[in-house]
Amino acid sequence: MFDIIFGYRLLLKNKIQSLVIMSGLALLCAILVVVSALTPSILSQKPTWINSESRHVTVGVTGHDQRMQPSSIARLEQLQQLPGVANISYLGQINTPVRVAGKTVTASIILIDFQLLQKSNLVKSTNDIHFQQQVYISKDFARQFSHALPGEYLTLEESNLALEVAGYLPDSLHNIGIWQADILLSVRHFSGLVKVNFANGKLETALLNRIKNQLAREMPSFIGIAELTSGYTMADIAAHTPDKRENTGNLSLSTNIDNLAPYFFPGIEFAPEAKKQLLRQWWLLLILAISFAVMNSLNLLTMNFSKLLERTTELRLRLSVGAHYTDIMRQLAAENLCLIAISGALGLALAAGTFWLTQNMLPELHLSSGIMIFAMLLAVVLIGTLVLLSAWLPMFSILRDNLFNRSKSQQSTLIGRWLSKINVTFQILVAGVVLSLACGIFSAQWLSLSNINLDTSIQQWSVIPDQTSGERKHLLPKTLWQQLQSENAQVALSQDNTIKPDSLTSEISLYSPDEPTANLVNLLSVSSNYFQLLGVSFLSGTSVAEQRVVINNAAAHLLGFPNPDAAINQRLFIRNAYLLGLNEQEPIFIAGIIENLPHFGTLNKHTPMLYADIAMLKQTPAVTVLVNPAEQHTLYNGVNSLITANDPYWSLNFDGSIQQQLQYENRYLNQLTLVALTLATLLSALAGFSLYYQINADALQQQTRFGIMIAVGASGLHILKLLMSSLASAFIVAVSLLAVLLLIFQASFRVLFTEYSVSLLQLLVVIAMLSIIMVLSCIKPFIKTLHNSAASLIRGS
Amino acid sequence: MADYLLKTENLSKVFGKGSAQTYALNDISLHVETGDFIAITGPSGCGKSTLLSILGLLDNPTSGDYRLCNRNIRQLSNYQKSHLRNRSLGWIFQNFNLICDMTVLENVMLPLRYTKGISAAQMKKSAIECLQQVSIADKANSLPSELSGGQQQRVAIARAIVQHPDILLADEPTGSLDSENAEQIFQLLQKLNIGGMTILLVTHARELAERCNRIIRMKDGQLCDTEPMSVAPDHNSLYRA
Ligand SMILES: Nc1ncnc2c1ncn2[C@@H]1O[C@H](COP(=O)(O)OP(=O)(O)OP(=O)(O)O)[C@@H](O)[C@H]1O
Ligand SMILES: [Mg+2]
Repeated sequence: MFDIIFGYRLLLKNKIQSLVIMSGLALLCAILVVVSALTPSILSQKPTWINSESRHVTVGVTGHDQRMQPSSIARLEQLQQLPGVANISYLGQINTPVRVAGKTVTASIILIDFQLLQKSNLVKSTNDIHFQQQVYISKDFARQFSHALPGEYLTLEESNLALEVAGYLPDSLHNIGIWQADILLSVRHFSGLVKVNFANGKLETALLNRIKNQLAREMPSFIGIAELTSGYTMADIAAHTPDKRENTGNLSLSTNIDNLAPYFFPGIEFAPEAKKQLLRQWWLLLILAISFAVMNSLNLLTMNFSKLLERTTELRLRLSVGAHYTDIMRQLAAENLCLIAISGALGLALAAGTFWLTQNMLPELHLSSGIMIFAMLLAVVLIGTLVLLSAWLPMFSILRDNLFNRSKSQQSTLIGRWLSKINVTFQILVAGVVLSLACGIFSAQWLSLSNINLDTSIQQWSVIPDQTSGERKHLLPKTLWQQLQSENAQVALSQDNTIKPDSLTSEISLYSPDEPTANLVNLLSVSSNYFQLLGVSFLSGTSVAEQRVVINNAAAHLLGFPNPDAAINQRLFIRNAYLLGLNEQEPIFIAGIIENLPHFGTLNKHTPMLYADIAMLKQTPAVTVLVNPAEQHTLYNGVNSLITANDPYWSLNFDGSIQQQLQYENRYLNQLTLVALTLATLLSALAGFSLYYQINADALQQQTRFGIMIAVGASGLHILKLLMSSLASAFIVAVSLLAVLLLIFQASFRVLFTEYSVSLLQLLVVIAMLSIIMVLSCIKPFIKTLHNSAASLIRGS
Repeated sequence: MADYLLKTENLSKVFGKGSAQTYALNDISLHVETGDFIAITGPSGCGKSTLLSILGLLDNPTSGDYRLCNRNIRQLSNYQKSHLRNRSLGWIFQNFNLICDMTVLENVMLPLRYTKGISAAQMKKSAIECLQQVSIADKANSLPSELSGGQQQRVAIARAIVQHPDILLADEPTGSLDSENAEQIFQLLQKLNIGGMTILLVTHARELAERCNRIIRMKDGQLCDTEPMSVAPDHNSLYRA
């Protein structure tokens, strides 16, 4: 007990240093907790609810944002024929009205294969036939009703089919990858849920069912999970999968997912992109945790070493009066208990906060409190071990064999000096790595935001079907949007939002639409004043017109034009020209080349685009109206009166300015930057403090030396030189290590943070920042040395 | 009137502030001529080391004047003081104060490093010469921790004389040594004095003090009297200040 109080007094003796060490340990503790709590859920390649260990591949299509999107059954079925695929299960989603307990509500229905359900082992259903007569509901969904639903019947409005509510979905099935589940249903009911409206009269039921069946096969609502036979890998499957679906059968449709490349993911994974993003952060955390751990242990080790060095006589005395090594170990442990307790408590509080945040922001991770408690225990044990080891190790080196041997103590000062050198080097290195990472991310972010070449104040409004009106319309009357445009020259139209267009794609080519090297571009219909209003200048040529399209620079590169001018008036073949309302019989020409615009977010700026005149469109489900902020009010009134006069079932919705939307698209990047910058500041502040204390402690130990030097005629300048030069070696080692690390890991940093870029200039900035920290750390001991008289330095007061 | 090598007037040194103030030195006036071999004695805590530190420019007086080599030290810049310490003063301490991670040779070369325009070879040559003078040249490449106390003190003396200073300041150089080693060190100092070096020696050993050509006795920070040396009278007057 006395030892604990003594340890507390030791902590108070050097408050700031203790504070630095404690906050370092607390941060380490928090990071350890988060890393270890996240690890199982991030590293597992299958959702936690699949037990089967067999080899799976998840298949979808690659969306414009390079993420997995659902494919269609028709397309996934093709996989079944491939060698190596044992079977394929489907998982899909559809929103549809259901009637239960006298109430009709729209529910998100997850459609699942019986095979897949069996693999999950979570919902007990004896066989497929049985499962086809049942539904499982989520507890969230059930909360809308006043009484327990299991045992009741639920009717699918669309197919008028009544199914028994067999039970609740387990918590782990509430979020299935990219979808939220209200109701779990056999995939076989899907075609019944497809809604088909024919304007005039009823079709024959048999024909209607045929159409519904065909539509169900073509709708992009499904992810496939292929089970591989042994000896096959994902690569084999990917190599044999056709990029496009063969159109066979008499009743076939062409849907826009047919143009998208297939997406493969090893293992069972429904939101691989989201997890991949997390994986990056996990790596970042892991690297941080490791460097924090090394940093802290070095700090602790050097601190304890110099403390013990001062106490050598005391410890030897204790040994000489009969204390055993274990007694001294116990004493040191007790002295450090305070440190462990305070920093552990701080760390756990921090970790709990982080954990709570993570759980709220990323519910798909399924973090359980069991894991959390385990992680907390683990972190505390680790921190305790770290502190104790750092207290005991120096003891062994100081008290090794001969108790009162002078040259031994010389050796331990040597060890101490090496330790402090390594510590200083490492602190500089950590600060350097962290600062250059932060600089890299920050500058990439800055560049991507400052390089936006359009007027970001432009406001966007969308004219869409009025969701609240009972009578739903699906196509906007052309007269309406024609009128919109002719009303005001300050108004431009596009088929969809500029920043996040739900764009269709098509192959384009200079020679023939069917050539194999045709390039995929995104299509967008815009009015001819669209570019002018956005303030984008043409690299060459003029705006869109009848049978004349504009492509962006990325598309021009794809088509292989040596310069923008070369593209003007070239004939272009567009496979899906009809999607743009263009006449496929007549030739289509390139009217102009435009800079790359930040469609799909700033980071996807290089998406190849093709723009055509919106006037050519025969119909569209919605349009986006772009307007100068100054004209906004007039537009609002004008459009509203237009809508009321023409067709009251359309409404005008505000989508925000281009700037707001860009910010929204960049939010993850912003968060990452914020986290990186905060951590960088914290880490480099910690490293700076440790550096400062280490240099101070070293200088203190060297006081006698400085005194002697002054006695033999060294001036203040010489002392400063000595102080600096002892650091210079550490500095040079650290900076060269930093340069090597950055060079080696630059590629992985890029993978880790898409938004990372490093340049020589940044490295220089980082080195300058480090030098400032170093010089600042030198100044205090220097002034102290000069302030004291040489006589007292030598006496060692 | 003769130029004194070193001269103080009403030199005082106060440590601490307020009620904790102690006069370590009180009104010390003395002077030293070239070739003097002076012993400073007195009870422990009387201010001998403090006086020596001030004379050796390791500390500044609180008040009073101090002229060294005809220069008022108050008017010297830090840089000039360093220069004086380097060229004109040599220090020997009771606990040797060798730098433990430098070899004997490097320790002796240390003062030369703070002098401009000396090549490494020259440095080494002068250092070896000095080590030979104190008969310890064979240990040139050892570390101080590998030497006995007497040997370490010889190294310290070699370091003190490597620049051929005008004055050698020795604060109890024999205090940590047995009588045999102490005698050897004292003889070394006598040899240097005969060679023309001025020496100020703080010592508790009466028999050593009496072999110097002048003794300054101190008590409570003041000079009490000076005693004529029992041996070897020389050209200097007995009493000054
Ligand atoms: N840095 C200091 N701060 C406060 N007081 C000091 C300091 N240095 C010396 N003193 C005081 O000045 C007085 C003279 O000290 P000094 O070291 O000169 O004595 P000394 O004669 O050399 O003693 P000794 O024979 O024991 O070496 C003492 O009373 C001491 O307490
Ligand atoms: Mg003394």
